[in-house]
Amino acid sequence: MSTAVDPREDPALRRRNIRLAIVLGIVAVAVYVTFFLVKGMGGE
Amino acid sequence: MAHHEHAAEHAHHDEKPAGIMRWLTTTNHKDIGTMYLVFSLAMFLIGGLMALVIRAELFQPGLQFVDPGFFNQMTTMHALVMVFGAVMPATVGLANWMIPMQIGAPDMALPRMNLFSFWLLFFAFMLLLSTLFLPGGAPAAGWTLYPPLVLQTGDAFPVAVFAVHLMGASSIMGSINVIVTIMNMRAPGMTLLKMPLFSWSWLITAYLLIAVMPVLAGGVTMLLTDHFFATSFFNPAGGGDPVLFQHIFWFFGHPEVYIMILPAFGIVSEIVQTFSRKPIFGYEAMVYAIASIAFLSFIVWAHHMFTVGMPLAGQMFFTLSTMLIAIPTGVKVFNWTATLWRGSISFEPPMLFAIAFLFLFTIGGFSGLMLAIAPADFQYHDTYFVVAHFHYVLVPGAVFAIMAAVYYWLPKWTGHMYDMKLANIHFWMSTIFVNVLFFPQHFLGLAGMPRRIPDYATQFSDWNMVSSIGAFGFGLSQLLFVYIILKAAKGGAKATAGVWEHPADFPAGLEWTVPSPAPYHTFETAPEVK
Repeated sequence: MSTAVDPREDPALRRRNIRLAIVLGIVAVAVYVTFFLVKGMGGE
Repeated sequence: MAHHEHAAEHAHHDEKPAGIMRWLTTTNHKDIGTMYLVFSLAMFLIGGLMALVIRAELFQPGLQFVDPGFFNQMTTMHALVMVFGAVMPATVGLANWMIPMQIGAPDMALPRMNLFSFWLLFFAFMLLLSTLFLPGGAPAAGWTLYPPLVLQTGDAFPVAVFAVHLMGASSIMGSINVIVTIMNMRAPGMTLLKMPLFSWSWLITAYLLIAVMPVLAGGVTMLLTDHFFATSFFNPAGGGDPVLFQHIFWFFGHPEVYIMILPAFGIVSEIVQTFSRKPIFGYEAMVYAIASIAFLSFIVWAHHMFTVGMPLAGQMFFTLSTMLIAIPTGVKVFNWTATLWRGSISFEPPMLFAIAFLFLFTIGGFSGLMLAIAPADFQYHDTYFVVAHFHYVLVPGAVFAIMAAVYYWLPKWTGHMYDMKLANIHFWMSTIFVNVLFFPQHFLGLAGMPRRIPDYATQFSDWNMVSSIGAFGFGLSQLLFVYIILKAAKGGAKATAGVWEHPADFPAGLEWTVPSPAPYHTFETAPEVK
């Protein structure tokens, strides 16, 4: 999506930015948790 | 009326606090980029001093200056500081400065998180460096933090683990910012396949970071719980496996190498086309090559662990998958060379560093191929050959590309041209000394000198002496780099908006359309890209 207006002046763009950031943050946390789960399933 | 309101608002946006408050509270991408770059330069000098302690000790056989325990702290801290404190923050600083300007965005998408990322990193490094003064000293088990050795670390252990978590959080937030900025805030007409290659390389790097930094964080969290909460992730007595940590570490560690080198590829691509006065040869192939390298980086990790022992099928898989990386890397080296072909080449300092990168990074790439061959790696593993290999990739590779980038964009940042003569001297001194420093380490490794030792057999004396002379020469040359930057920041000939010659049909970034120095706020009105 190409817009290049300032998010301070465009609440829709601001919402889109925050939404994508949250999705990426969830991915990062999911990778972190997955490594514990994999070890948990395969461990003693 | 509306125009006046907008002008007033614009003037309001241009206001910035004076003095220290500007730097503590700024959310401006250029200020934050500057802070990252200054921080990384300071870490480069601190990490460099640690390297000089190592090379002073190794100047001749026998124990000279430091005890073996402190020597191990130096090898560990040098690596952590250079990887996480110097190279990565330098590329993040360049990303902060250049990505919004290249794609025509007014700032990074999440400016407050941007500032938070920087200060988190700063705090993490203050913590990490403070471990040098704790009982038992700093971590000394190598930057790979392998258990059970790392569990013998003194009071520094939990502090270092906390610092690694903070660095990881900082990197992940920085990456999220890069991805959101590029995906949501490009100027109208700036399609993904029109983006400058530096921005492209960073977009792919940011995805890599989000995928692997949590893996490192997971690994060190398991170390922490093994140490303090009686878990047995890596403790065989409780059913754990220390080799599991090596898998986890290198699942992070190999992509980490590409996290440091992919932005360098982007930088070199931009510089080679500018000073050849030709658009880059095979732009799309360059993008796909970066993406292929990023993908392959996830399936090669165990080539760092051949000597630990693995089935023959595993050795063959990791040998062959590692060799596959030579294909997209070869595409890139071919395309850079093809860009130079029949170009109108000039050799300003950024181009000199970029050409040196082409030759010297490729040496590091080739020795990497040698190490990828499992039976050969049994000979080379844990010798100075490995040290020579990765230093060729990271110093005349990543660090030279960062220096090239500074010389390329410094006039855009400061508004002044820097002292070309001194920069040329800096280039030649760095290039000569970096080879004096690292090339003999190939011979030492092939002759069997192990890495991470403070003393060695007398047969290794001569090349160690040469290597140490190179180290001190390289270190001193970098003081010149600092002087050149400070001199340009203070004054000098005025730089034009374009700074370098860009032909009209050139696919250059939008940073060259704004004045030099770049105004505090750029692209508040979206530019139109045709």
